[in-house]
Amino acid sequence: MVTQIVAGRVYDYDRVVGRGAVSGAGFALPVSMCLGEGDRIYVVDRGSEYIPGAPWNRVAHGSRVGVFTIGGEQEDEEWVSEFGKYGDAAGELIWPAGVALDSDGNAYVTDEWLNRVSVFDRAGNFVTHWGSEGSGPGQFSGPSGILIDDQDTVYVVDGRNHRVQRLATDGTYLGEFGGLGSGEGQFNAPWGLTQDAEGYLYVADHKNNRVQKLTAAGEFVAQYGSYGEGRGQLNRPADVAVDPDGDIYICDWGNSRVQVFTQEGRFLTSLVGDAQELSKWARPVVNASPQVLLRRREVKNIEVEWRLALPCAVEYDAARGRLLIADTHRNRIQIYNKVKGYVSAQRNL
Amino acid sequence: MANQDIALMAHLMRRAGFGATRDELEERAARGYEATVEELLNPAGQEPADRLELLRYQPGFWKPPTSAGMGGAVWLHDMVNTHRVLQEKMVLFWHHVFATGYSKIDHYHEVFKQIDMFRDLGMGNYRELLVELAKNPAMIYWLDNCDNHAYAVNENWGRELLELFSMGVGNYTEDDVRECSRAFTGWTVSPMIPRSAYGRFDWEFEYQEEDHDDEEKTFLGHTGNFNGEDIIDIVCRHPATARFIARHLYNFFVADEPQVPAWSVTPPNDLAAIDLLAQTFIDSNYEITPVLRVLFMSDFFKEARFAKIKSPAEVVVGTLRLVGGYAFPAPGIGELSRQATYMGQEFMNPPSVEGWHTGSEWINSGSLMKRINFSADMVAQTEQPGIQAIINRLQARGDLTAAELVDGCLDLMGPLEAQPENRQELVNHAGESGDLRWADANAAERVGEMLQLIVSLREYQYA
Repeated sequence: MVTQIVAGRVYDYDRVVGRGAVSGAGFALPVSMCLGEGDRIYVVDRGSEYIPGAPWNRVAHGSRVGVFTIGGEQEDEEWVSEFGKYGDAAGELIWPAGVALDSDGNAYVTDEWLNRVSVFDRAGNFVTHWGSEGSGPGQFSGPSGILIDDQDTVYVVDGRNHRVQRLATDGTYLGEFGGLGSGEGQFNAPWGLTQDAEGYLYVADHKNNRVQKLTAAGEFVAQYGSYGEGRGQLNRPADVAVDPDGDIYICDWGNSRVQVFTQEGRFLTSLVGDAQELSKWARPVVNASPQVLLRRREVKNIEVEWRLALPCAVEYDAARGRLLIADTHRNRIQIYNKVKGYVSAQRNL
Repeated sequence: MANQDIALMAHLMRRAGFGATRDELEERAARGYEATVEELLNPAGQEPADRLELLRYQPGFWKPPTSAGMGGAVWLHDMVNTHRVLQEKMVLFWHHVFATGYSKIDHYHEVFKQIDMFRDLGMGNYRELLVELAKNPAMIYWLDNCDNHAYAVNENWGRELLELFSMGVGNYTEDDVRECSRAFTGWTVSPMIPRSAYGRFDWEFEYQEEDHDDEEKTFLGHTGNFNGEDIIDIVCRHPATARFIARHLYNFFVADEPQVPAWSVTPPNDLAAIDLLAQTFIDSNYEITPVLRVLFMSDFFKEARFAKIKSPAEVVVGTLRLVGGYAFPAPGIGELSRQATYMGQEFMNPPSVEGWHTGSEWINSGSLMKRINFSADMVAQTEQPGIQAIINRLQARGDLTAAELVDGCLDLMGPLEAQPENRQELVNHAGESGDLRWADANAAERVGEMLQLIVSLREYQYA
């Protein structure tokens, strides 16, 4: 089914955007997204080690931040630009992990290996970077998820220090919360985070197999999920998004799905990927090879191609009422609309 | 603790694992040899490697492209991190025996599914393992069973099943090969979604009944309308299979044997040991774990110290585990996994279905230099936790004479039994810098240098 009606909500699969590409229209292991002005979306491509025989900091494929518009209709998607490339020099990225925009439209990109946040201006020009390896204030060990609130306070998930740091946009340390553990307000290798309309934070507490809801100061409010493969369970969640109704979308990375919860913690449904049609950018790649077309006709069950594969990021686009899922290992974004005013078909058709 | 207990435990852990630190050896020796063997034989109680940890930081290693090192890195991460060391050693063992290479398959993940299958079944029942091997998509493609049809038999899988995977040359005829192959017609793979826009997908085993030769066959004197599993049953019952597997286990765990192609004409070095292992295999209805128990508890195993030349995998993984600090999947793990390749053993890419030639054939002037250079580069990293632990233990003994430094390092690197002339060379060299005083700024560096010399000895190349 591509339309799920559950507890008064309707999630309707819209389309898929993307293909594997190390530059231009497509993605190379998209691990994070954020929304920009004018329908723009910024996508962090992790890229991959590829060519052995070269020093570790010299060669990889596809690491970058891509800027796209997706639009509201089928096939509206367009590549706009990209910035950043693999390397450890200023303005380069080894393990890009997260992206957020400040109120001026500058992009802040975390790097989990170089332990710094790189800043790029609206045109994608490198501005500066801040942060260094360590566990002190303003230092990082594996910075991943990042968000910037409407006061331009930066929240960085400092994954291998098991904490969230609050910083100014120039990297000035403002505070932190968390610490290693499985208790309330503690983390084990946290990854992505988001903020709801009321200012609460939600952190994907990766190795604790849960999402925690916290105040902006880090006080525990609630938690969602527990370890497992079943309904409402999680296996190492990667990211979380919240829609204006308060529904929570958890990127259930290890189970290759998105789990949807109410604010009260009631499990609603799973989104598992429904990319039954090839994307606008994938189609020419497939059609270019007669051999590929032949083989695709022989495949007995192509359903596995529709499904999510270790998705790393979710983002809720409130303006358009839709959920974007970074289907990381399939190098694409799957989109579900949350439909308001849905009128279902007559039951006894 | 008695030195002989530590030495025996070190021997066990080099063979049944990838070596162990002195702390681990002491803990295990305190629990006892037999208890340790039982722990090794029951991996469920130990932590496996965390594959998700690798993919969390290096997502590019999920169903990776066919670029050298991309698959090996995943397995290297497993081998360096697992606490189930005998289970992982058995994966390596079966990869030696059922050698399958990505060079033909062009799909690392399919080879990896075979490797994972060895992890699941490699210490279990050999018959079950053979059945799953026959259904393994990588093996089916590697040995062309997808081209083995009722109307056109392809003998590649059938031949290698008998020649390299079970009985060995000399125990069957060309007619048996043909009949065996007929029984496996219709065992194929279903068409895979081709890689293109969205990356790699998987093969699945498929039995096509309409393409199976459903006629009577005569195999090794047995006649019937055999399917593949019937052939495997007959193969398992044949006494040559027990001897063949026993000899492989002996060659892998106890002492170097001649290369496999010579086995039909060259008797085993220790016939009584092979007979004991083979009989255990038969008595246990082809279970592997009881055979391993007998092997590790035997005198012929305990007395076979340093009777085997380490494989490149053992050199690389053993050294990384000794040095420490390589558990995290840092950038460059792909290149790190290539180190064994440079020594002559590319993970998941054996030179042929016959696998690697082992023992002294691992060594040539190029591969020996790679072994020494790699090991020396690693142990020189005095800031790494494993080397720090060695330094700390030496430091606890106070300032050291040259001889005490050499003997201490040899002890903590094994214990290694250096030949007297080699030991004297080391003492002479250390003596040029006088006694080792911990107050000196270069004390740790001098230990690192001594460790570099030790891994350059021929003794370090033996397990």
